[in-house]
Amino acid sequence: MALNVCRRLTIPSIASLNNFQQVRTTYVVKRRNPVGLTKPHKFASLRSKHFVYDTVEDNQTKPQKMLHVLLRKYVEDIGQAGEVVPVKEQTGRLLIMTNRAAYPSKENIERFGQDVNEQVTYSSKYVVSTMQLLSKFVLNISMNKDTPWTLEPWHIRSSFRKAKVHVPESAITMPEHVITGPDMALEGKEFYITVTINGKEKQTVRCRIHHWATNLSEKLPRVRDHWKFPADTIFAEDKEVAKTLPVITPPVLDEDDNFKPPVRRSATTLK
Amino acid sequence: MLGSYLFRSVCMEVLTKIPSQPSFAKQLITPIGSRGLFAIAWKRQNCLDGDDLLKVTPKTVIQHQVSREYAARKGTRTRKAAKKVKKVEEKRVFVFKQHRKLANLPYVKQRPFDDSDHQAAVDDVYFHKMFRMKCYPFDVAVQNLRETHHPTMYNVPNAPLYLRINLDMKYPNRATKCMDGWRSVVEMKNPFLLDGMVRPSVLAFCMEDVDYIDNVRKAGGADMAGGKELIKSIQTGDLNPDEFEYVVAHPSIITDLTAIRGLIKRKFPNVRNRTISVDLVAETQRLKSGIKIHVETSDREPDFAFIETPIGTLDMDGLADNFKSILRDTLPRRVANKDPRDFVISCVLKTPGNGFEEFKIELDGLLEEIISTKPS
Repeated sequence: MALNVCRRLTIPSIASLNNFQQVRTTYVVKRRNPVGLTKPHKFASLRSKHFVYDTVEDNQTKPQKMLHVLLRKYVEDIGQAGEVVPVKEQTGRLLIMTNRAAYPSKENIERFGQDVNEQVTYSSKYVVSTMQLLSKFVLNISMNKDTPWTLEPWHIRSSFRKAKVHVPESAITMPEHVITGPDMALEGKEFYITVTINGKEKQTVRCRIHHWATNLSEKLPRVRDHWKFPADTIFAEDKEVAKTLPVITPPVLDEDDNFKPPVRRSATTLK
Repeated sequence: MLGSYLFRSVCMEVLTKIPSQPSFAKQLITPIGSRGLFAIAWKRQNCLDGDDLLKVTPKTVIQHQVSREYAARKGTRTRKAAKKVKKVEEKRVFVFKQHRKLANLPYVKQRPFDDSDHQAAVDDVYFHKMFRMKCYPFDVAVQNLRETHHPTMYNVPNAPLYLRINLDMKYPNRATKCMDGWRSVVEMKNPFLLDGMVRPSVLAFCMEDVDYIDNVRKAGGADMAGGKELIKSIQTGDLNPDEFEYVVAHPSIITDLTAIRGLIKRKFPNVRNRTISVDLVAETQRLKSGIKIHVETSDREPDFAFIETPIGTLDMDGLADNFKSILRDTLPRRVANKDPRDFVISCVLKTPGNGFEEFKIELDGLLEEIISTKPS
């Protein structure tokens, strides 16, 4: 911990703006062996035992106080432009330093009042982060392998819920084409839906169809980490839509990452 | 070498110690021989038995009688023997290595994580991870599970539905005291049978009335019903009461039943379990359609317990009534003056196997409603 602090003090880096701030840590210490009285105009005679200290207070582990700031721009998960919000001290100072916030004084409110009104507004403070998460998200829709089906909005809603994402049925707009199955040509292929957040912001989401068999013996072989690799689209015109989303870059596997099931030695090989 | 050295030194000591009685020393040395002298000296010094040192027994005997100062104090041996603690070897039960590993694993606490401090969701689209867990009304939770088990998706429309009730077992205003678990049979308003589940068998002792016995057998569903002739057949050994899970009786026949109390043993009907009753039809129905509830507790976490029971299958109606009847059984078990909302931490609905989904049920006002209304 201490080493880390020293490093931060000595090598200021601009890579992370958090490191740009002065480290605000104080230790309040007390001598374990108190020094005796000294004669006037003379130094105290200090021994090595007098340099042993006990910590009385450590500021590093203290919870940070809340700081009220006036936001000059929309900040993700914190608030809209023009709002006065309580934030932790460190984030507050960072926001002020990067011109995204100011201290909520009367002069500042007058100064930035006009500027604030011209800013882009969103329906809520969490919208941008959910849109970012949804753009990288790959929704798995497991449909039955044996019974015939046509894809409906409630299928997508329940698959979202399985992935711990809450999406109401009214927020989902389906693709133009009707998707029916079971069809093994669709297995592992992509199509796109749009999710409307708070009836305002729209975000396209990747969906992939997987065929689920109820019996264990009929199940399709497992594909490892399928959501980390790009897949083909079902419809040809969707390829343009795919370009608007962030590209899926497949992970670089380690050399020794070729997973193979362990083979048991039979009695004949052992000699 | 060492022995001879010792012997010599002790001999010298003895000789130096008794210079005032030279004649006595002479007498000692001459008849016993040097080895015998050593033994005597050894005894004097250490108050120990030096017999083992006398490998060669002296041929001559001491002529003078000597007072036995050197004898070991009485009770020394017994006292030392009593001091010794006997090591009792613990009986080791053989356990397979895998099982031992499992037993030594650290205990994982069962109490669910309290996320009431988390912020509630603001938008209509959000990731559950960031916010407080959503509570669903009972009907909506069941509907959600029906969707995932629909023929077009998992295709298990008749999947069994399980309820888990998390309970706080602490006494109010007490630091350490906790409640014990319990077992009970809860009547299901809409009875069901899961795969591998068998209805319990019931033996009914009724009063001497042919119509009544017939009614208990048909309407109640008792496996066997009868009067005094049943008692006789048990006494003769034709009928074994151990084959039945429950025994119910009418109060009029109890005096005759006491004769076979030793044969029925623990299943003997009593008032507290409601197995002695005037209305035998209702009681047999209760036991037949009942679900056995067992509260899971652990010594490592005495302030927490949970119940896990099936309450029906997904495709049947009246699941809410079954859910309420289980709550109606559990809520009165709480300690007096404990708030029901503190007692029931949460209720969770789930299906075993491929569902993986769990839904927390909204309990606002439901617990109070159940306490205030009497069972119909």
